[in-house]
Amino acid sequence: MNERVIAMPRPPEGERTRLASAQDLQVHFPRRSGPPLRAVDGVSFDVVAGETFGIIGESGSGKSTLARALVCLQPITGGALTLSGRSPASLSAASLRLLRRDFQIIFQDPRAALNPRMTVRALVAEPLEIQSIGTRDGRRAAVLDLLDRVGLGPEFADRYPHQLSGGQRQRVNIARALAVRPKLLVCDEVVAALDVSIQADMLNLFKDLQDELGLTYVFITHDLAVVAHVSDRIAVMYLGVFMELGSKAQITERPLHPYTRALLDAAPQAVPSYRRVHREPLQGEIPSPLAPPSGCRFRTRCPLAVEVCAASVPAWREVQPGHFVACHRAGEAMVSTDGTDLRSQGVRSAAR
Amino acid sequence: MSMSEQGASGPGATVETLLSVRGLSVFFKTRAGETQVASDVSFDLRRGERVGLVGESGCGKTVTGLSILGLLPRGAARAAGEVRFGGHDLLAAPERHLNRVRGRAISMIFQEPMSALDPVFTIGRQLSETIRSHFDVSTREAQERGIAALDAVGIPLPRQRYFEYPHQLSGGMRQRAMIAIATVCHPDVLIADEATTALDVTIQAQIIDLLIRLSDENGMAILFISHDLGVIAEACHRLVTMYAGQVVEDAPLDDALVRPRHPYTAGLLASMPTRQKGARRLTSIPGRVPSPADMPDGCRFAMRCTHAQPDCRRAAVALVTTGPAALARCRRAHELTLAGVAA
Ligand SMILES: Nc1ncnc2c1ncn2[C@@H]1O[C@H](COP(=O)(O)OP(=O)(O)OP(=O)(O)O)[C@@H](O)[C@H]1O
Ligand SMILES: Nc1ncnc2c1ncn2[C@@H]1O[C@H](COP(=O)(O)OP(=O)(O)O)[C@@H](O)[C@H]1O
Ligand code: SF4
Ligand code: SF4
Ligand SMILES: [Mg+2]
Ligand SMILES: [Mg+2]
Repeated sequence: MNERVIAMPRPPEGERTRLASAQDLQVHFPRRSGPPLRAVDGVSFDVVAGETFGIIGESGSGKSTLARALVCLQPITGGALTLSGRSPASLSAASLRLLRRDFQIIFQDPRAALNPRMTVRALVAEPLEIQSIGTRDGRRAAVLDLLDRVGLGPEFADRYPHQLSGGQRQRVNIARALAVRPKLLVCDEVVAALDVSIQADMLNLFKDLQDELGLTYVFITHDLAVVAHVSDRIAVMYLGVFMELGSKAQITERPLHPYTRALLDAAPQAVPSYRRVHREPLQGEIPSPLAPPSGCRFRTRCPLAVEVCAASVPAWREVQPGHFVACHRAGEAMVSTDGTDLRSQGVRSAAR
Repeated sequence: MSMSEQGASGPGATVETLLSVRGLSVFFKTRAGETQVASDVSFDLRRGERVGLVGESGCGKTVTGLSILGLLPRGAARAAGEVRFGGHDLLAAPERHLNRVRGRAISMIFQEPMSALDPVFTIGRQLSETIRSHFDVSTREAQERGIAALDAVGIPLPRQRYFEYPHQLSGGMRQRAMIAIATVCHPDVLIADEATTALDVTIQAQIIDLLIRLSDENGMAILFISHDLGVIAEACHRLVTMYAGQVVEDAPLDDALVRPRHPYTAGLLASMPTRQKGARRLTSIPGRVPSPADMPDGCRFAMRCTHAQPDCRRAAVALVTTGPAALARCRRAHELTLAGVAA
């Protein structure tokens, strides 16, 4: 264990309720031979009631594994997870079942998650029945109300999944997740497969549901524009650990970590004056989590890497209130080998 | 360096037109008879020019790309119109001629590299077969050209990778290998159908830069099919917007983005979340693309268009000139002031 756990990200405003809290959380997958795969390798953060906590990172960085751990679909192998102030590991089966109602998840592929032989009505009623919520008549009404909330009229109730568009299927998934009245909804790449106009509808819907129901979201995506649109705070993940965590403005306008800056620079931009034109993209690909680099895990691709980066793990430290970063050179003048000022580029592409 | 030397405006007007799609229509046979999924599609590709083809799912982007190379499912689909390339009409050309063009003068790459790479053959074997099917060269020469192609697409240790199988490569390297195979014969035209869609942003940026470099160095024209306007904006000189099987706008990139002339292009731009928009509510386009079997009369976009007037639904709408080298299929193109992105 190292310094990473000492600094504990606090809720953005004073005493708001912590819905979920991870402390040095780890998920390791054992392998038949060799050391385990460390998909999530020690992350610490709080999710506060009413906020949208975004997590961004390249594929394979451990986002989905962390997402499943947050809703108790994936046992954790180290550290601590606290949900609504309680540790799921210490609960009886019955109490755990009740607790898990409050923490729901929706996944990327809306088709895979829906049983093709069930109608929309049956699909949305299913979680209510499993949890024995309400009377039969009550459930009938609840289903129509849920469909209405996600923007589907009663005419959709008797359709089957194959009779729905991608966006409509995703709405059914949301209705199912909302059926048990969760407090926190983890959304794992839920708009990735959708056309931009349907994606806009979904993002608006998430916002409306948050306003109406006071929902809290953990919003996971590899799309920076999406995460910046929905999130209050953003964590940047790479090879199982957080590289940076801060408010939306801190991450997108004043990023301190070279990886965050590389992600911002790489995002394609339609606005002519923000295009990547003269920005060099990040080289290489994310290394295998079976053999993460020593010291800083980002060092094999980092334009600022120096000797110390290979020798020691950068501490997870709070550099501004609420702004955490793990980098030996965070905040130093960001000048790359060819003399270009990386910081001005990162800021240029995000601010203004 | 990623943008071309010619700048975002693209090749000058004097640069030769390589490929000319004229009045392309595509029909599929269905139980209910023939449905038309592309209608009277026309656009040009000049040497070194990168044209972005954008539109929602089902608007006909892929079928347009496939028909250029005669790759529509045989028997199930039929294409009409003309695809002029190298003095021939590819739609009327015999299969023998198309085989000479495919992979040599015009190549295509896709979203999923594993669909284009054969898992049972080495990367090298797939490269050398492509070369030897178009050039009469020795195995040795084919190998050297293949290794050079791997090197050109930025694959480290090309001499070693040449002998490896697709599954031994990472996702980004597979995408590069697919591009190496598609460009090993130095084609005049590359059709890239959602070629960067499934990639992480950092790898996507690398692949976009690679395609730009290959096109700048060799004068290769690219038809860049994508539903992501950001990707097209980073890569292309022109934007062609398709809606419900028709070209609805065709204009120089920045003109189309900053001052779109068709409400559909403007609608796509308004839907995009961007860092500049902040957390503001997004404006989506109401409704859905009509199905090919159920195409409305008049303007096909009318039922989703906030600017529609009764006249719009009466008769089919023709493309009108909206500027130098710019066209839009909207009756109100000249009177509407539509919001685009900031200049
Ligand atoms: N084999 C087929 N048989 C019948 N219809 C087809 C077939 N292939 C495509 N179509 C139809 O042709 C139309 C255009 O399809 P196309 O694949 O070109 O869309 P696209 O614009 O590339 O969409 P996407 O963004 O989803 O790739 C759609 O209505 C589609 O359903
Ligand atoms: N059930 C599992 N068994 C073994 N390895 C896994 C399992 N689930 C995920 N992994 C590995 O953990 C790493 C992180 O995966 P994931 O959480 O899916 O990342 P992301 O969602 O960021 O793409 C990957 O290397 C992945 O292959
Ligand atoms: S610690 Fe070193 S290698 Fe890691 S991000 Fe900072 S500068 Fe780069
Ligand atoms: S013709 Fe009319 S309905 Fe069609 S896009 Fe123009 S204004 Fe809208
Ligand atoms: Mg994932
Ligand atoms: Mg397609």
